[in-house]
Amino acid sequence: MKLLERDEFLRQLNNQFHSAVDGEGQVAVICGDAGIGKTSLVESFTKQIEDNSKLFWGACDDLFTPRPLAPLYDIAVSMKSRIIEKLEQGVSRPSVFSALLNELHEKEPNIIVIEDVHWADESTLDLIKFLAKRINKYKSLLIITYRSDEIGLMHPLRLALSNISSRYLKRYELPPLSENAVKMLAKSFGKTDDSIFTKTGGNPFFITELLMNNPQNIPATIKDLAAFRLNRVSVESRTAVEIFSVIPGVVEKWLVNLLINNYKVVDEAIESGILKVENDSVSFRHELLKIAVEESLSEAKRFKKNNTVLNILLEQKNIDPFLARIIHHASRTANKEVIFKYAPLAAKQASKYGAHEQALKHYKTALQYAEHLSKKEQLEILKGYVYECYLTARIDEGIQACESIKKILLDHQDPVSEGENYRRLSRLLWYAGKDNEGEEYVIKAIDTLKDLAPGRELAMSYSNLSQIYMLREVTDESLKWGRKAIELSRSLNEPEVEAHALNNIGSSKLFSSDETGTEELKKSLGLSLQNDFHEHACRAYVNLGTVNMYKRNLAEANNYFTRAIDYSNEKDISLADLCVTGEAAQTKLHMGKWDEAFDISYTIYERSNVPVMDKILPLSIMGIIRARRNDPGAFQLLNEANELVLDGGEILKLVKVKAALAEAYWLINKLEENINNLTECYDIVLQSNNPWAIGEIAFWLWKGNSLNEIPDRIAEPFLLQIKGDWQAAAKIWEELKCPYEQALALSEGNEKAMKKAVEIFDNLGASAASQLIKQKMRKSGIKNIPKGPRQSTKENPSGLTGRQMEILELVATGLSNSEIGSKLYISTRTVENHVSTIFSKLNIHSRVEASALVHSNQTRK
Amino acid sequence: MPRYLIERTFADKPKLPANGEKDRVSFINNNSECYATWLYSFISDDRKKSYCIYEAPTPEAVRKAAARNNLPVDKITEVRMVDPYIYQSDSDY
Repeated sequence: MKLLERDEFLRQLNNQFHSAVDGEGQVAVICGDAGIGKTSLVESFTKQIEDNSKLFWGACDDLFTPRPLAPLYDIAVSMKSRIIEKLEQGVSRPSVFSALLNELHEKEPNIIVIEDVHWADESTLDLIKFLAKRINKYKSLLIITYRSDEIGLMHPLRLALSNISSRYLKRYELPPLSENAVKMLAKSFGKTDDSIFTKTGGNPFFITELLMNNPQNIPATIKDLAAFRLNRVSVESRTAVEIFSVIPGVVEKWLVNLLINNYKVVDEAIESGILKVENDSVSFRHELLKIAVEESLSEAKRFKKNNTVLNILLEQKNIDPFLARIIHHASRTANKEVIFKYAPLAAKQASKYGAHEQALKHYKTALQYAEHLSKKEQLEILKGYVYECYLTARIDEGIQACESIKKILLDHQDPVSEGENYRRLSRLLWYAGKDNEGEEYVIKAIDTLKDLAPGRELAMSYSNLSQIYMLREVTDESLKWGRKAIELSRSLNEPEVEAHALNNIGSSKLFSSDETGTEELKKSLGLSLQNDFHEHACRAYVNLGTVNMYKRNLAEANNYFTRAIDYSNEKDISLADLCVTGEAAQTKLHMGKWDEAFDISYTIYERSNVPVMDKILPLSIMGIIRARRNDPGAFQLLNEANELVLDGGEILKLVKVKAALAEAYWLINKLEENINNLTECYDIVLQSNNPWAIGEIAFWLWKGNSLNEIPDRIAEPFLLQIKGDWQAAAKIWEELKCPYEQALALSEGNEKAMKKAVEIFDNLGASAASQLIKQKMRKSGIKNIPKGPRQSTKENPSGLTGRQMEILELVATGLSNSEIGSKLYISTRTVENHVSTIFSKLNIHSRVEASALVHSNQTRK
Repeated sequence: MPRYLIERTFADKPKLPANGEKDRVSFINNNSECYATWLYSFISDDRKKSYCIYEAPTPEAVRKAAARNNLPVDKITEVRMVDPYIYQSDSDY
């Protein structure tokens, strides 16, 4: 059947397919309401090109809690691939996904279809993100379909896909058919009923069903249509259709055979236009029909049918593949016994496959009926639940669950679980920005566990306490507890705890400028990498980054943060992502890369479920950038960061937020109003031994004429500036490649220095500081104050020099750096430096983007 | 969505682009890709200053759109439109 009003979509899909065949893989996202024809479009398209390409197909199911990676199973079957075995053997997901990509490469060109993504589990979403990001290097077209009304704007998939260049990804929103099209269609069936368009709203499925059916009275709704068709078949057939309607997805042949006696009933239903058979499985002709039938069942009937299917599934020899389906039917029948027996199993399975959202949901399902379980069983479920809350950053939920565990343990003696629970609670409280409470609980954990036979939990508790002190930069306490942790962990042979503690000790030392800390930190990293302690290795990278960031070794810091992010992606660590991002953004801010810093911070800001501690730096970074640009909405963000950082306990965040807030006040000439706030912070920071932390706050106190005496420990550039040696200070900032701080130092200098400061501020877009200094210059009677970046529509406002424009154009034509060097008679190295600067100014990250930018630039002469 | 007033200063009188409809469409596309919508502008007699009203989710969206369309940005202020009705007792001014 030819599809109406879909020609343009087919044409564009074809274009995408041809790009893919030419080696530039593409993603097509097809969305629309139910019945709008997404599947029809995909089928029509794939049929068109079926001789020119392989097709691998998978779909997501409408399960109460979806089965992890369900479509991957389908795809693996159609590819005759063995990656499912890898998955079940416990190979990490990123490796499995990479293996899939390799297999796709071997079977090029191909089209991969994943349908009904609105029902996808977390792992499937990760798979789609993984493929979408990389597909442009393969001869593949990835088509995904979803119902737009079931996926809101903030859905993680939409956010992830919005980052992919429109060169590789196209969205197809299928509209309903127009009135004209409906009339035409009706005419071709010999009907002239004008009410069809109104009745169906242009929904293609409904329209074709109505027209092909030839009913005497055109039914008003799909429900009526379904009822009409059901009434035409025998009772046995109707019963079969009803039972199929409660089964999510398709009904496999073996299941069909267990549910019915005579295949005739299926044939009848096919004849009547309700069911269809594909690849031996029975399914409804359309989801909408299935829903209509299911909704028409009485409560009692629905219960009975779900129960029947449930019992069949439970009787299978190997129930592992059916866990999610078992839970689905059990929750429909409120079958407590089945739920508490199998939900934890389903949760563990989902967790194993990285579908933590689903694991969480399974635990929650089990907990719904928890009062009927023994305390011991409840405890086990709650423990799993807390763990999944932690992994999905549902901090408040996790804290509540720990409270529930506390209650249970009141009359169920289990000191090990009690101690463990206090320790977990302590971590969660820290993430929630409640450092003091977190400390209380880890101490409680230690008190509970220390009288028992020494174990891993006690050692880990020592290390967690050491960690709290490390972040607060109370060096001696951190070292003391860290050493205790190491001693115990060595006697217990627990290298994981040892690695954790070494990190705390090393970081503590480095924060207080004791360079011997590097040894411990590197040892921690080595031990973690060796033993696959993924989270600890990641934390080691992060802390190595942080210590460098403090000292403004920005390139080093950036390297470590990038490594941390890459590592966490590779090893599938979900939580680390958020932590590193804030610090990575802070590094970019110091480097003067404000757009990047802002964008990175904004992605955290936009997300839901971000723990308090991970929100702080992004808020403060976005706030200070706005303040520096004199844009609206600065103080709102800075104040929010300020509120959150108070109970947070981490010196790094405290210093960055307070310094940012002070600067924002200074930029509007109101620093005196913020002095009390700064002084309070200063008292806390002085207790750390960190010259950079102390220096940053001392600097702003000095700017506000409130620094009573120069502190003993203070980092050099700040010291020089406070002493009045602005020139030496500016030089150091320049060497450290911190342009904004360099300009701040210069602005305290002579006329020439101030002019240079204004130039730097203008280049960065720091209008607030620029205006402040210009005012200062005017007041001191300085003439010839620079007017600021003059904007002409002929110039490129990104501030590229002539040479850089030249190089940009050459990059856009596809020449390599050495080819460009040859052409312009300069060294490859010089070209590389220029390209790096150009990318930075234009906020792009690849030559492809450069090319796109040049070609779409409208004001080229 | 918030509205922003953007002040711009041009060194030379900006020329109108030569390709008419095509340019208009690409201008609007550049804006909409950044989620910014140009409502209207006020321009000075010598055309060197303009004051533009945009609707956008954040000031950064406005800046991104400006960069794509090669327009300068001097200052962004969040604004609301008011008219003499604010004098009425039940206005939310």
